[in-house]
Parts: sequence; structure tokens; C-alpha cells
Amino acid sequence: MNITTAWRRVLALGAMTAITVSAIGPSAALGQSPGTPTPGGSIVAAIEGEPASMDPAFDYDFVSGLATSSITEPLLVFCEQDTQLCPNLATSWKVSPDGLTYTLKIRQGVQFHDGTTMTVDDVVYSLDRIRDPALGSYVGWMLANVADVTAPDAETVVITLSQPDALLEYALASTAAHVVNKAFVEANGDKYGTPAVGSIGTGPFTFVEWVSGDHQTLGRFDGYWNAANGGPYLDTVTIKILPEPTTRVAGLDTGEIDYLVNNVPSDQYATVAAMDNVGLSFSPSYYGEWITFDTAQPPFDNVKIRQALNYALDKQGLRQLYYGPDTPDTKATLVYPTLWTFEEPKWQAAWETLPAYDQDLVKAKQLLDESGVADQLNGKTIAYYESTPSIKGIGESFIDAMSQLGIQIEAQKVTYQEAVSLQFGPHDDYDMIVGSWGSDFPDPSGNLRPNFASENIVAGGANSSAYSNPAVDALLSEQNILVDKAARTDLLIQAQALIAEDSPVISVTNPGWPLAVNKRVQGAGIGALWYWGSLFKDLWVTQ
Amino acid sequence: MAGYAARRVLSAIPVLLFVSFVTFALIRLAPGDPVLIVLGGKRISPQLIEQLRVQFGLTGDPITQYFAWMGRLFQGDFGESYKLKQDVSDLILARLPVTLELILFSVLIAVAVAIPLGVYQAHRRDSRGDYAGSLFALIAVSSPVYFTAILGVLVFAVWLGVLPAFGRGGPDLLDQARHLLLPAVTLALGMIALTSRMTRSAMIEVLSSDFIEAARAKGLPERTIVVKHGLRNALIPVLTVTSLQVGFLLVGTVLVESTLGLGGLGSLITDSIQNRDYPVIQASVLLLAVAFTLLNLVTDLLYAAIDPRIRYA
Repeated sequence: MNITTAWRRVLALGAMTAITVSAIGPSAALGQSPGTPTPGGSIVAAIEGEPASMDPAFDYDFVSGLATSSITEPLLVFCEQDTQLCPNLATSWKVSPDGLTYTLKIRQGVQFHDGTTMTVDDVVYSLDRIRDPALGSYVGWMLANVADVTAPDAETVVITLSQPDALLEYALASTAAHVVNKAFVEANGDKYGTPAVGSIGTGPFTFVEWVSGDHQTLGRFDGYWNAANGGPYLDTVTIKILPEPTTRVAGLDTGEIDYLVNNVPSDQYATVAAMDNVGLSFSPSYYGEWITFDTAQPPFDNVKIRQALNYALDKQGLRQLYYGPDTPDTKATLVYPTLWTFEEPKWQAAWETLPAYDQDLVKAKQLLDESGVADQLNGKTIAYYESTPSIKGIGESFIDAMSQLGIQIEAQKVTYQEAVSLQFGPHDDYDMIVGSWGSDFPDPSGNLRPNFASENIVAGGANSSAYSNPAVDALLSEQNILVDKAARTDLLIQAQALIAEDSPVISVTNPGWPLAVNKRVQGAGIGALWYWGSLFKDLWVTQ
Repeated sequence: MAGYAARRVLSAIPVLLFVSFVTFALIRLAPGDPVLIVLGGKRISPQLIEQLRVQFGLTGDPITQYFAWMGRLFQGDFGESYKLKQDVSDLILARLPVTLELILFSVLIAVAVAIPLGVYQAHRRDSRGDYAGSLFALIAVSSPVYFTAILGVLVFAVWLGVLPAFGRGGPDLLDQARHLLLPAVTLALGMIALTSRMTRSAMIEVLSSDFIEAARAKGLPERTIVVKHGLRNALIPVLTVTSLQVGFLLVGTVLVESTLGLGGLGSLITDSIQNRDYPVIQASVLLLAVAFTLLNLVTDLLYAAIDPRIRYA
């Protein structure tokens, strides 16, 4: 599906408003760049907030990774549009049949930015550091089942688990498995990763400077181990901190900004698409927006009420309004077709049988009447933040749909951060939330287990519908200790069917990730898990 | 004068204590859990949440937390930012220069425009120029800073292409000035409006007083009458308003900096409030309160310098 074409159609229909709509420029064919890459040149990217750190241990958001993942690198990387795993600092990995031992061969002769050579000591140190509870790493949970990390010889690292963990191999491609320079980290202590000292790693770019609140600058690393396969080409990359969306869009227009990933506001897609000097493209994502109910409290504990609310909302209309006519459909699951990264035919067959709960007010009304508790919905609140147009739109549209059914729902407008606090809090202080979630890994369980396993109805857990179904719990835990993907798929599909029937969330959108790039920049393209990847390595500029 | 200044500084202490307490209490009453917000809305383990609560000093009752914070404050320890993992004092010092530059530039623009404008309006009272000045002031004072900033970017950066859209620029001074022009003018507009109105009415009052009549009768040149005898006497109320306005500029920077991509104290405060980064909010608000107090003191001391009739016993 060509999403860029879809966007041009939206523009032609005039379905979206824009500040400046001039002639629609030719869409940039990103990734099919003309000419040969040449070293040199500089670009400016913009992020919406100050990064937490350059220490990979604290890179678990959408802004820190632009710098962090250019400086330090993981043992494995996501590849094939971020659906599979490929070697990186580890040249190969083997899992024992019982799923308890991972044996990695470590690439030899890889240089750090300070000229020293990466050793297995650095690798063991890096993994142990993330696992150490005293560090408080944001990605430490990914290695929770790791019991021991050892280096039997100078080329091998062995990871031993306390119990099998289907997701561990993905963690090896995340910031949890970035290899840091042991000597540098130990020498800098608490200052490591802060603007004062930055970071060094084996990545394609080096730390140049970080001016607090203003920008980060990276420089090309000429000793990069993988330079034979593409870049780095750019002399410098500046990552500018620009919280105001309108200013970011203005910067694209004036040419002061070359690169925006994810943080292009959706109500300005049309404006950006119309810029002659900028190409806007969309990549499939594992991310979705949805409404969640606190199913532990009445009347949301009633399945008929939840199904009625699902039927009430015009999900198709919302998708098209905010993300264009060709945006992927959703059904009553958070396992979007993009997440069918293995056993695709099985997932496809299961998809055919899933309910979509397409808007049907008659059916909604009927279910409300049957429930006998519909009047308890009056005065319930739905929390949403207004900084993302689609999130705001879903909240407003839901209130509107309910009022058509004669039920008064109140808006609870919050900031993004307050919404996060609700979604990941103790799960007992809201009625409904317009939420969002994107899988950390290219694995269907990444969108099922966090959101629907009852063990995650705790502060910090993502089960914001407080959904507790023993049958689903059993299936989700069982699949997690299996290594065989076909067997896992069967269990996940069973869990998915139970969840769809129970309707603990209303799945609304699965939009693509937007990427806006100045047309002088070549080689740009992102995958579904762009936030774990090194974004600038293969970019080059035409003068 | 020194004794007066010392007494003023001492009397500010209870005010600052009050401000620190109110800030401490208010941010804790606001909805949102700093630990969950810092962790950014992804999967986190309950153990990590508990650990961060301890690390951030958020366990135990709030009163004890407050006194513990005050205790460290008196030892010069402002704490560590929850989100940015840096010393708050380092952060504030890194961010302060941008904000000071911005405020200084704004005040210079505002004073340079507002006072001559006010004097002109008073001197040419009820002329077309006077009305145009009043209309300008009305628009300037009613336009929200955030809106003016966006409009400025649209007109000067996107349409005309004469100014940069955001950022601080550099390394040379000229480029920095070019970058700061839009934010500084945006910020100065409200101040220009109020200060010019104040100058106008103060000048009108002074220009109609007896000693001005006497000066005219003596045949002094008009310029001397207006500037030397008139303006100097009108400056006291103008100065009061101006110094208060500088205080409000500090608040205005919060909006301008976030909108125009300047990493100063203002954007630090916006971010830290959104992120419930308590140590940063507490220290920044206290710093603003200190700045306000000092500003008032300096204003009062300036009165004496401008008007010899004012003496402090």
C-alpha cells in the first residue's frame, strides 16, 4: 500500500485543513535516492523534548535514541523492516533447546571512538550494568530473567537464564544490550551520559556536544567497523530541541530543519506534504491508539456494556479523518497485521474470524438495554490529552456517539504526562482513557501481554483496562516460556480471541510513523522500531 | 541607604520561605506521578518504581520531605533532576544565560521604543500620531505572547525569510542578535504597550504642572522643557511599572522559549512542570522569587537616585 499516494488523495479531497496549501509537490521517493553517496555535509534533525541521557540505560523514549543509538550500538539489530533480528556487534547467536542458554560470538577488532578495541569484558560489563538494580535502568526489566553473563573466551559471551523467555532475543537488539566502554563509564560515574561528558561507543557517530535545552551535536566516526556497508557519510548531525510543533513545521519549510521522525503533528501532514523542499512518507508501525475502560469497576465490569461502547464508536471514520483513507483497518485486537512477524498464515486466518465492532448504534442501544445497567454510564469520564489531534478526536467522538445514545459522558482533559500517569498508575483512578501503546519488539505478544495479563494491573504495568481473565493469563504466561514460534502463535491466537470477545478496549487506529525529510537528504527510511535504530548512518546530502 | 537595603533583604526571607513552601505543596497536589512520568509511559517493573521513589526522596510524609529539602538547600545542594539526571544547579546555570540575554534585549527594545513613544504622545496629545500609538499599545497588550511568536515565525521566517524561525544562533554576536530579535520583540511588545501608556499619562500630568509653565515663561527651549524638566519628573511611576514588567518578562520567557526553541530557564521550567520534576521546579521558582525581590529592591533604590526628594532614613 502506498501511503504517500493516499495522502495526496486526502489533499485533493480537501479533507484536511492546512495553514499554507500551495501546489502539491512531487512526493519524495525516500530510499530510492539518485546518485552515489558522498561523504560530507551536515543535517539538522529536531526532537520535541530534552533527552533524558546519552546513557543507553535511560534511553526508553522517542527523543533520546537519535543520539544514543548513533553513539552506542546493540549486540543484534532489527532488520527486514524491523520484523527480524540480524547480527551486529555479535556475529551470531545460538539458543539452547531448553531456551536457557544464549551463546553469542562477539565481533573482533571493533573500535571504540577513543581508539580502544571492544572486548568481551565490555560486553559482559554492559549487560551486567543494565541488570544491576542499583543503576535503575529503564530497560532493566528486559533482562529480568537473566541469571548470569559470562565470557568463556575472548570471542564468546554466554547468557544464562533462570527461566525461558521468548522475548530475550529481542532485548539484545534494544538499548538493554548496547555495548558501553567499561573504562569510560567507570571513569565518569554519575556524569556518564550527561551533557558534561556525553558518551563513547562503537557507533557511526561520536559525541561532539550537548547544550542543555538547545541541541546535541554528533560527528562522523571514521573508524566505524561497518563503514563498508554504507555510511556514515555526514560530517555532523545536529539534533535540535523544539517543543512547539508549529515551529518544527516552520523549520522544515525554511530549510532550517532537515529531518523530523514521528514528531510531525498529524493536523499538519497536509502542510508538510505540500512543501516543495520536503518529502513526507509513512512507515508501518506496531503502534495504536485505543480507548480503555477500568473493567474492575461497574458498569465496565459488564461485558455487554463494553461491547455496546465498542459498537458506538465510529472507528473507521476516525481512522480516515486523522490518518487518511488508506490507513490500515483495525479489529478488536492490538495485534495489528504489521505484528504478524512469524506464522503469518495462522494470524491471517485468525484475523478473518475476529470481530471489528464496526459502528452500529442500533446494536449498541440493544446491548445497553440488555445490560440493565446502562444508566450507570451517565456522568462517567473519559480522560484524554489534546496535544495529539487523533487522541483528542477519539475522546470527543466517543462523547458525541454516547450522547446520540442518550448517555452523558464527561471529558477529563489532561496533559500528556498526566495521561501517562493514569495509564501506568495503580489503575483505580479513572473510568476511561484514550490510550496508546506500541510494542517494543517485533512480536505479537508485545502488544498482548503488557496490556492484558492480570500481573500487569499494578503501578508501572500497562494493563490499563484492569483486565483479568484467568484463561488469558494462562495462555500468555505459557507462550512466554516457549521457544517454538508455531506453538506460541497457537496460544497467542487463542488469547486474542478471548480478549476480542471480552472487549476490554476499543481498538481504533494503527497509524504509520511519519518521516519528513528535506529533499537534499538522501538515504532516509525508517522501520517500525525506528526508536531502537541508528537513524543517521546511511544518510548523505546532495549539494 | 546600606541599612535600608539590608533591612529589605532580611524582610524578603519570610517571603521566600513562604514561596518555597507553597511551591513544594502545590506541585505535590497537582495530578501526575513523577516516577511514572519520568519512566515515560512504557513498561516498567514495580521494583523500579519503588526504587526511584526512594532515590527521589518521595517516601515518608511530605512535611519531612520539605524539611529534608530545605536542609540540603542551606548546604547549597539543590538536588538532582529526576528526568535529566543532572545537578539542578548545573542545569540552571547552563540555562540562565539565554534567558538573561533574552530579557536584557527585550528590556532594551522596550525602553528604547516605549519611552520616546510615550513622550511623543504626551507632547502631541490627541494628534493622529497619539491615536496610532494608543492603537498599537492596545493591540500589543492584548496579543498573547504565544500567538505573537507563532505569527512572527510565519511572517518573518516562512513568508519573508528574513529572520530565522528558532534557536539561539551563533557563534558570532551578529548571528545571535538576528536569532534573538524575534523572541525579544515578541516578549517586549506587552512591555512597550504598558510602559508607553504609563509614560504618556505621567508626562501629560507633569507637562500641565506649574513648574513647566514657569519654565516656559522663562523662555527655555521646548526640548529642554520636555526632556529635562518633564521626563525626569515623570520617570518615577514609569520606573515602577517597568521594573514590575521585567518581572513579568521572566514569566513571558516561559512561553517564548518553548515556542521559539530557546533552551533557557523558561523552557526548563515548562518542561519540569510538565514532567513533575520537583527538584527543578522548586529551585527555579525560588530563583524567580529571589529575582522578583531583588528587582523590587533595586527599583526602590533607583527612586532615590532619580528623585533627590526621596530619602531613606
